Amino acid sequence: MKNKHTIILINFLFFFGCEDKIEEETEEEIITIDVITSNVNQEIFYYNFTNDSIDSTNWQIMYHNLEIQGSGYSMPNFSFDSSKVSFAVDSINNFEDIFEPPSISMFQNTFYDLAYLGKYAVLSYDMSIHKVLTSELVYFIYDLETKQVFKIFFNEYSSGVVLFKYADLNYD
Amino acid sequence: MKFPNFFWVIIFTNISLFSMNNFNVEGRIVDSKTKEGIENVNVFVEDLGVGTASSLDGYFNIKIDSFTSQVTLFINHIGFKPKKIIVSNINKELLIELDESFFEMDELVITGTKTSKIRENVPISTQIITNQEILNSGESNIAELLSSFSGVNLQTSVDGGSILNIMGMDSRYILILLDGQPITGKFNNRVSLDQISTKLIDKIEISKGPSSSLYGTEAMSGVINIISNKNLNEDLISASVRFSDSEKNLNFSDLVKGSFFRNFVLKKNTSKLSSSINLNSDKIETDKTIQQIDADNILKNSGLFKLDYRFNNKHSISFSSNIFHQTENGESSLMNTKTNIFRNLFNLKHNFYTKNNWSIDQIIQKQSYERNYMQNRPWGDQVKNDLTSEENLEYEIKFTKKSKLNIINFGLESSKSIYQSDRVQNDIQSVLNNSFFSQYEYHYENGLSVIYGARIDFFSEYQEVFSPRIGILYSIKSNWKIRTSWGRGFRSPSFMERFIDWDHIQFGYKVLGNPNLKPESSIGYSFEIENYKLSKYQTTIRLYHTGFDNLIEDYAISPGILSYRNVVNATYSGIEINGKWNTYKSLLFFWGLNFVNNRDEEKKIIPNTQPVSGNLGIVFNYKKNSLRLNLKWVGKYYPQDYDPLVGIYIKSKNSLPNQYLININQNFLLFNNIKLILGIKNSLNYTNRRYGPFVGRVFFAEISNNF
Repeated sequence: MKNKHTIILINFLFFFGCEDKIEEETEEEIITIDVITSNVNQEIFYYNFTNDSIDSTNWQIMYHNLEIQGSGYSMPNFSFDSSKVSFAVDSINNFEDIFEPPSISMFQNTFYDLAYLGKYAVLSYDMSIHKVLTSELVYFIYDLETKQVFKIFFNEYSSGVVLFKYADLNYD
Repeated sequence: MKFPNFFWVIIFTNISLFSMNNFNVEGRIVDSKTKEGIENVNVFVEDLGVGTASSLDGYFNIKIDSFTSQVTLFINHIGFKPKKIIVSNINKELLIELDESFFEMDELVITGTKTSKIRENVPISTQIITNQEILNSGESNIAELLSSFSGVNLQTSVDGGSILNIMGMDSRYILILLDGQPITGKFNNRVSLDQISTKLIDKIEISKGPSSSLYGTEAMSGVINIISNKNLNEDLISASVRFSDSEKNLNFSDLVKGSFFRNFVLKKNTSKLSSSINLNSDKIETDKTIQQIDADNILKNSGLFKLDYRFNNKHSISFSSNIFHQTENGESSLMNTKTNIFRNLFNLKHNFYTKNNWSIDQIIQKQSYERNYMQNRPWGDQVKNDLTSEENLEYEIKFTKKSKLNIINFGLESSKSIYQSDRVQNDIQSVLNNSFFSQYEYHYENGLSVIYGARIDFFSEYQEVFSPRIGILYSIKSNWKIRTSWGRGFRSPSFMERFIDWDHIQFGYKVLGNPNLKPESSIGYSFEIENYKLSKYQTTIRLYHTGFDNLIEDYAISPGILSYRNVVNATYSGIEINGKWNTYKSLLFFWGLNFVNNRDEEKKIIPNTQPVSGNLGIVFNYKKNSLRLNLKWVGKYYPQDYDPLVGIYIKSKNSLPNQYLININQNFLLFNNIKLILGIKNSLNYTNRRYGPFVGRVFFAEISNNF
């Protein structure tokens, strides 16, 4: 299905300071892009934030089924290309309230923390309610080549498909 | 199907004329203090099964056709102490004075023995949730109502719907009846009790201990009989509306999710025909951020229609129809869901009383249930479209003979269930069940009564099951009772366990039904001591122990392929303490304390066992108004989690802390017949995002008017 691969630009959220001059100085125009992945049970999904495109050859994030060792079952999972990016997380602020990238020292390369059962796992399985849940954290990735920083939030998981949104944050 | 013809043949061949004593009993029922007439008092002739209700100013008239020259009237009304009066065949006007009371205890019950008896004389332990308690509770459906009592725990299942644990046991081991008949259409092997509105019901009887000797499958550790509103000789139009709002946090500005409930009742009677219509509609707006369900809104519509026709005091026919429809809609960025549930029940009964105190009761009942669950992506792709339907046709004939205090009854039941689903092996499956039951209740001298019963069930798919039971009641003085019972119970495997093959979409494993499953079986004992003084106090201490064999559990045939098998043995034991105390004038206390000790075959505590829970409540009545507070406490316990590795439920690593749930309701009689109920449920706002309760504090207001 083509539409499963389509990046849906649902909204462009323009944050304009209206009355407060301080906000005028700090809040910049940030374009948020919504992405709906393909169904992980049917195929692996790759995405490149720098090009805003699905790209299976040059990607920063991969959405795939991860076989849980010794368990006999797989879990949907997000992996990052550790040779291209490092990551950080924000557990305090909402996605919409973040306008600045975190300090460069906050970024790390312990990508196993992002995998299933990891400390910052993007997707987890709630044993009591039988559901895959998305994390409430805001994630940042730092592209080692272009030096771009993206904030990412994973909104929803439903039957193999994930909706996430991201925006480009610059060090100026 | 041959049932209808057979049914009518039995009816008309049974009709005969006997010489009768015909007489009228007239009278007026008044409040002993104010001497004012009391309306809607139930006047019931226990031996004949006929009754009426008093008029607005307390008058009643009841026509008696009896083979004896005297009958016993049972006078009963909410808020007054019940009374028994023996009247003879001399036409005369009675003046009956009733004393005010704020709790009822000696109601007529039927569930424990399938014979209408006053509760205190029943050898089988029976708890009643009275109409007054239902009204005072302020709860809107049966699941919520039951869970407000200690020893009953309501959880949300992983597939939606509610799981009720009663006496520490999953509700699939307790038979749920509506007016004495099983309810078809289970979801996740359980009846959805949140689909039954409290407005439809008169009372609930909970018969404790194995009862398969009377009711067959599922009655392994008890029976809950939901008794719908009766047609009495009264004309009535009433309407009520109810608003409820929930809040997520301690912030009153969050009052956005709740329900809008409407109820309409019409009762119309002639001398021989009683009819009633009871309509309900509940529109619920859910909060998906806290409730673990896919629906944004739920609409529940239900109707109960009843017709009772009394040819004379020997023959009566009643017809009832219960129709239920539920729609659930949910939307998200990735998935739209829709669920449609239809449930229909048609029930025709014929009661025939012969001379020599024989009665013959026949029931034919047809039920159908359909559930359609759809998942569609917002961009049009259909992910799921599951349609499941179930039909059940049942016929029962029961013969009862009363001789002084001794009663013998026996009967036959025959039922055929058909299950259709695209997930069922061969798309359609059916089960035929024929059974014979018999029971004898004998009253010895010195206050000893013993009930002996047995039932044999023949199934088309597996071996017959024999279920005996013995119950003993011993009265020490007038206000001490000892009850003990022993019995065998069983649960035949469900359609889901036997026939449904389904895939777990996420984990990619398959679950295969096992058509070779055998029924689960149990042997249970109970012992109860009760001390009471009519309308003053009641305390009951009950010990029970049930051992299960052949419990059905999930297991892995091979990696990724799961099925069911009979292997597990377990024991469920516990102590229940319940009481009521009408202390001072209008003040009533009630309490319950439950200790549960459920262990598997390795003697380990079974997950989800709540070792200790209790409730404490107070009702204060002043004039026509009342205030009710109920605290329910659940002690620390380990819930269950799902282990996807082997596909079974396991004990969670972490325990849940003590839970305190407080409900407060106030009933006001504003003026004339207009009543107002205000209430707060879960007033301490206790929630648990993972195990529930998911919804915190709920405010509600209900206003009703009798025209």
